Amino acid sequence: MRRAVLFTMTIALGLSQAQAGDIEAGKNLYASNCAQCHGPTAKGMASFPSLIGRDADYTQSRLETYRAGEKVGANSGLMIPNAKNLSDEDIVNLVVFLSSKS
Amino acid sequence: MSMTDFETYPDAMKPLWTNDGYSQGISSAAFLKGEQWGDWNGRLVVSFLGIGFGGTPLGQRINVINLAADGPTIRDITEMPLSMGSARFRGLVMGPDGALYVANDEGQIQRFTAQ
Repeated sequence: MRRAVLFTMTIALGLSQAQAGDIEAGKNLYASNCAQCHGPTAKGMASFPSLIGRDADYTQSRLETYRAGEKVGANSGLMIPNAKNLSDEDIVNLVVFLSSKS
Repeated sequence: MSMTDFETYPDAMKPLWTNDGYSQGISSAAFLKGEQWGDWNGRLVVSFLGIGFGGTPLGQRINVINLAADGPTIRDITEMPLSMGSARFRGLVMGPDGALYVANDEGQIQRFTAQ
């Protein structure tokens, strides 16, 4: 019984850490990997869309889709190699950073 | 990547400059004019949009090219220092006031003057 309780607590802790994310880490990753197309303020430019005001779940699922190498939209060829090396943590950090700007 | 197909058109004009073979989205060019530019008076400025894809280094700069006055030869190429940071530079044009006006992909127009 005690073991079962401990297990549940670990899962809960893991989830809350993942959801919290690190805004500062997301900001740095954005500046080095995303800003050259989506712009320093993430409002988009040319054919590169704005990332402001998007649903967090949407941004996360799009990044996961690109990371998996699946095409969605005209700029998939640019996004797939960019997302390829992102960890789950990187994606959450980017999402919380972008959500904080909305 | 060469833009000119010399196999099909052997007599085509050879480029003066090839950006080290990189495709970095060259977007615009203008000549700086006026004494206010000092040593840069008469230099050719060239802007780049490039997003740095597929192993190509990031463009997003403005080069200042020193062309020889007596013929099509490049003497020197430098990069313009940018106090406001880099951007996808789309258009360069000299203004009637002797400043260089620079448009970027975020929809901003900036006025550049020599320091």
